[in-house]
Amino acid sequence: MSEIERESMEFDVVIVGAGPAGLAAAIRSKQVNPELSVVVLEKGGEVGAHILSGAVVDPIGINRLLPGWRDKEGHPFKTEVSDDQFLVLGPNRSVRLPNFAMPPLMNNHGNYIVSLGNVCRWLASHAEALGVEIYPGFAAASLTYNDAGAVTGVITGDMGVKRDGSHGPGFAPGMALLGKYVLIGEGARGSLTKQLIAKYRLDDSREPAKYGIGLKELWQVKPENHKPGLVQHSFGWPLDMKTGGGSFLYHLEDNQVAVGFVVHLNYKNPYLAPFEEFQRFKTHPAIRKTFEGGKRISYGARAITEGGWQSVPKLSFPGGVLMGCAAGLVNLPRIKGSHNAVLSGILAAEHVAEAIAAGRCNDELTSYEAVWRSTDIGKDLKTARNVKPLWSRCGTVIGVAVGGLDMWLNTLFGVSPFGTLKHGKTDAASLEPASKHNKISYPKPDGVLTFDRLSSVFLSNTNHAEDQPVHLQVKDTELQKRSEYAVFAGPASRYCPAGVYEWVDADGNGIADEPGHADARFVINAQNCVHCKTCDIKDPNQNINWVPPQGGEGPVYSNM
Amino acid sequence: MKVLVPIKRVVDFNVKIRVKADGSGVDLANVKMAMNPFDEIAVEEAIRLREAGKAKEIIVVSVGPQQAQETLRTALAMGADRAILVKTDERTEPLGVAKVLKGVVDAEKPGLVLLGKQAIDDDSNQTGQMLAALLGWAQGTCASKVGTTGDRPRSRAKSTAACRQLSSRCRRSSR
Repeated sequence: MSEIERESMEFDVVIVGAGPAGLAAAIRSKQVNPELSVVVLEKGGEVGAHILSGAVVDPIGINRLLPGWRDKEGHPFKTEVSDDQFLVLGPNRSVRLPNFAMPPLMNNHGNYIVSLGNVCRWLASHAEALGVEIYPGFAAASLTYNDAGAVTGVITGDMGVKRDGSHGPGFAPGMALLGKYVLIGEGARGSLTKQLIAKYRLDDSREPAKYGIGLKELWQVKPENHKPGLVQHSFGWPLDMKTGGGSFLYHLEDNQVAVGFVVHLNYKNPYLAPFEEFQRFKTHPAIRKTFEGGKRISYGARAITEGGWQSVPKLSFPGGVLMGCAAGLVNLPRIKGSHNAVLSGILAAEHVAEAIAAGRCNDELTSYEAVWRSTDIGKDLKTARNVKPLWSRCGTVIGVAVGGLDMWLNTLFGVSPFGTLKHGKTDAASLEPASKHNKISYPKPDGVLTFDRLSSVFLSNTNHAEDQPVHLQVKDTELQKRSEYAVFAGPASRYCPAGVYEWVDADGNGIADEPGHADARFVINAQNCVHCKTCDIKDPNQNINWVPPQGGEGPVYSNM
Repeated sequence: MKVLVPIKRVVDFNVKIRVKADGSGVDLANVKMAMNPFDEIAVEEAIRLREAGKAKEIIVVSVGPQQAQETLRTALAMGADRAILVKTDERTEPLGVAKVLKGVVDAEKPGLVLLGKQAIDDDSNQTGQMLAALLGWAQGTCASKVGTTGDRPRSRAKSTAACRQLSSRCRRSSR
């Protein structure tokens, strides 16, 4: 970073990310101490633009943050869950699992089907009413430190930098936002989170972080196919028994249906394409009838944390804390994380406010790290902690069955016969060379029920200025060619849900499936990026580093 | 010289709009709104005139609903000095807006009014021209460059080119 004169602003609390965790922390800070100056930075063009989630939300966090919210007009929680179904899919048939066999924590009674983006917009209006300053369109690109090595604030990304790094006509240097404490709510695999974990070794003696990629579409369906309040989860087809993942299908209000697919990123076969698995899933006879005569109105994708209890890093660092999905608080079997995000935001705010009231600043909030496992967040994650390891080791059928049993034992007796299982390798290290696997032949999209990547990315409204440095940094281009292409057959062209990565020959033809070309070139279509972070997670050599592009860019998700 | 810049709150240019299921209009529920891009160019131009010493004060005005305040705040953040909201929940059309703007011009007495070429929701390209006619002022449409001679504004547009070429020149060169 060249030495540019930067303006700076000072606050009590600096929050990165206007997601459920960041906004809950902002609101709670102001509730505890209205005099605090609180700022929230959001890289999306508006609050909610980068929020993507199923979502079935457990209102435990919202109830605690805003008691009495149900009585006021204008909240987005319009559809309560009325019917909960778990299906196992075969290629043509489906079997419904009995609900009574499900452990209590899987029960969705009292939960709501919502657009998490709309929840965030609603939370943002509450935050602004309390005096929180929210700045969408500003990406927190780097951190500032004091001489003691503690975090003192963030610097927003420079705007108007040209692709070669020189300053364009619209150049505006980023500003430094300094705070007594910095709360990080970037979501799964955040870029600042990654830097903090590395610098302060927050993952020492923790299990490696594990992720999945979640792809989602929003459909407008015919009224006769619409059953508001229906929640359907499935696993099995089209994934094989060795690949973790499953689907969700939620009926919201206004004839909208949210459908999505999660693929666990510890898959081994580099020919697997999560996007194609999602498209293929929709063609199942039990699923496709919902979408007959319907219209797809939105698409998006995002990585989702799956490591749970044993992978959560140390959450406090000198000068701040991690919250929400940056901390990795998603409960995998429940497929819910926003409730823990809100609870962690509340917890962080309370500890920060207490520290500031005691006259402290830029030190470590050790109390937050010490206490979270005994709160509702910890209880929620502890019960489900062995599901992912069992699924990964035993395959889908046995893994889910034993995992369910393990959750029952934890619920009833508070212990598990397995103790706390380990996760094994990282997702990147789990990928095996292409020589060990066969290509998967996916059906062509029909344009009515199934689609291609580019027309899907179109619906995410994603947009980036062309002339800016590529925000997907390949550290070693030679390594990418001799390993990612030659050994793994270019998996980036398959796991990326937005068609960012391609391996092409001299004529521009796609050659990821043919590892022998000497003239292979790695093309990065950075403007398609939907900020899902999967490449940062799954590149087998960890050779791709995702950094935020200019603020205000990326997807513009509506009602997602 | 005071410069008045009317701006409009429209659907963000990146969003793919859809027609409502009952066909009654465009679905605007929870859709991202932003300042009309051509109006952004007008605000930017006004700021450059002020930085060059040709303009003293920049006033932005919007005729629209309560939420247009956010668009006005964006203009203030860009560097405008004052913002006026003429609040209405009615659907606005160029002639009505031009009449309201005439009232604003009569009250504020700016030396120059800079408008965006057209709004990206209705693509009318009419408000500026109608306002000039109502005021009896000179107008320069589809301007690619704006400057001053003494303290009288002067604009240059390609008059021989076809209309479409003209618009694309305006878009590219009015930075």
